[in-house]
Amino acid sequence: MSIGELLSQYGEKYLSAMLMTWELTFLAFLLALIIGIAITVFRICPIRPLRMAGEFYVQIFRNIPGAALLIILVYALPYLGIVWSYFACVLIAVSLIPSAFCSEYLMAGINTIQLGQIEAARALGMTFFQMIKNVVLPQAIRSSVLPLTNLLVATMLTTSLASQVPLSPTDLTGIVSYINTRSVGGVAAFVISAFLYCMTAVVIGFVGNRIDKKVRILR
Amino acid sequence: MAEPVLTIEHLTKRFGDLEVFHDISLDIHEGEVIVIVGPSGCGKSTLLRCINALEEIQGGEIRLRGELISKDSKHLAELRQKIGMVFQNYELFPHKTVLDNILLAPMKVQKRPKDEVKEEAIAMLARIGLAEKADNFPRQLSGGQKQRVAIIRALCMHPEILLFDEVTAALDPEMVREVLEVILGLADQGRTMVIVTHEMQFARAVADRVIFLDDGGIVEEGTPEQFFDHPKTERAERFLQTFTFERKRS
Repeated sequence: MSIGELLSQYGEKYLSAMLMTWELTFLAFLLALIIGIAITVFRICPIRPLRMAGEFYVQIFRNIPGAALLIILVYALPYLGIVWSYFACVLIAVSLIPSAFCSEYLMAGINTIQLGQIEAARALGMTFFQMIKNVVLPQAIRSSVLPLTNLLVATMLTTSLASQVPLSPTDLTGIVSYINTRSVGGVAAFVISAFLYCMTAVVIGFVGNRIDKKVRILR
Repeated sequence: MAEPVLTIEHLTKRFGDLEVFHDISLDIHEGEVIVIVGPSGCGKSTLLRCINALEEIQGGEIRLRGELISKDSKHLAELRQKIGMVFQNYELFPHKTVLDNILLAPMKVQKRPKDEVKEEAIAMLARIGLAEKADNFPRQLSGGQKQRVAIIRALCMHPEILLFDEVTAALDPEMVREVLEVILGLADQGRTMVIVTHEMQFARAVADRVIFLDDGGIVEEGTPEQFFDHPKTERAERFLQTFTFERKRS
C-alpha cells in the first residue's frame, strides 16, 4: 500500500496512536521528573542510608533494559498478586528508567553549583529542605534543561515499548504491527510513524532550546 | 559589664593532623567591632567560619547569648539566622535578582510578610545608592555592588552579630572603598561585628579591638592605637612591617 492509501484507510488510527504516544510520553516524563528529583534529594541528603538507597535506585534503573522491566511488570508481578493494567505497566516502565537518567542529569547540574552557594544558604539559616528548594534545585534544573530535553525525546522513543502489549488504542509503533498483520503496509506503514516521531522530537528540541536560552544561569 | 553577645572558650580546630588553632578564648560584647588580622594561613577565616559552624570544631565551645553553637545543635539553623555572614566571593544566588536575593531568607526562613521585608530591602538599597539595581541579576553588577548587596542580604535577617570574611579581597582597588564605607557606617550604628581583613588602614579606623592571630593562637590584642602604634610583640611588629615599603638608597 502507498502512504496515501494507508492514510485514507488508517488515518484515524494513526491519529489516536500519536495521541497515545504523546500521552504516554507526557505522563512518563512528568513522573520521571518527580521521581528523579526525589531520588536526587536522597542522593545529596545528610543521611547515609538514604544516599545509598538513591544510588542503588539509579544503578538499577539506569542499567535495566526497558523490555525486561516491562516483562517483569506484565508477567512476573501477577505471580505476587499484583495485576496492573497494560497502560499502567507501560507507563511505569517508561517512567522508572528515565527517572534514573533524570537524577544523573540533575546531579551533574548540582555539581556546577559552587560550594560557597551552599555555605551562603546555610549562613542565612536555611534548613536542608529550604536550601534544596530555593538554592540547589532551581540552579540544577536550569543548568540541565538541554539534557532533560534529550531525556524527553528518549522517553518518547521508549514509549514504543507499548507496542509489546495489547494496548487500545495502541501507540505509534504498535500501529505499524497492527497494520502489517492486517494488510501489506510494508515500510510505508513505518515511515508514517517515523515521520510523526521525528516531528514531535523536532518540536521538543526547539522548545527545549528556547527554554534553555531563557532560564540558563549566566554567572 | 553586660553579658557578651558571643563567647568563644578554649576553641581548638584541626584539619586532620594540622592544628589551626589551640585554646582560643574571646568575648565579644554588644556593639563591639573586632578586627582579626594576621599572616596568611593563620586561621582568621577559619575562626570566623567556626562561629557559625561552617567548620566543625575539635575542642572548646562557642556560645551566642549563652546558646551553644555546634554542628549538632538542634537549633543551628535558627542560631545562624542571628549570625550574619558576608563572604569574600559575595555568594549571591545567580538565579535570583538583587531584590529576591535579599528577600529569600527573610521570607522563606523567617516567614516574614513580603511587603514588610521588601520595604526594608528597598530602603536599604536606596541608602547605598543601589535602588535602581533591585531587579538586576548579580552578573550585571560590579564586584563592589555585589558585595554591598551581600551585606544588605545579611542585614535584612536582623542578625545580632555580623561576620565579614575578607570581603574586599576579591575586589578591584577602586571598589574597596565603597564596601568599606558601608561597613564603617554599620559600625557607627553600633552593630556588633567581627571583621577579617587585610586592609590595615581600614582595620585601624573601624576596630574597637584588634586581635592578632598567629601560630594557632591570639598573640596580641588591644585597641587599634595600641596594636598599630605600639605592638607589644616582635611577631606583630614584623607583621605590621610587611605593610610598609622602604627603598634602600645608597
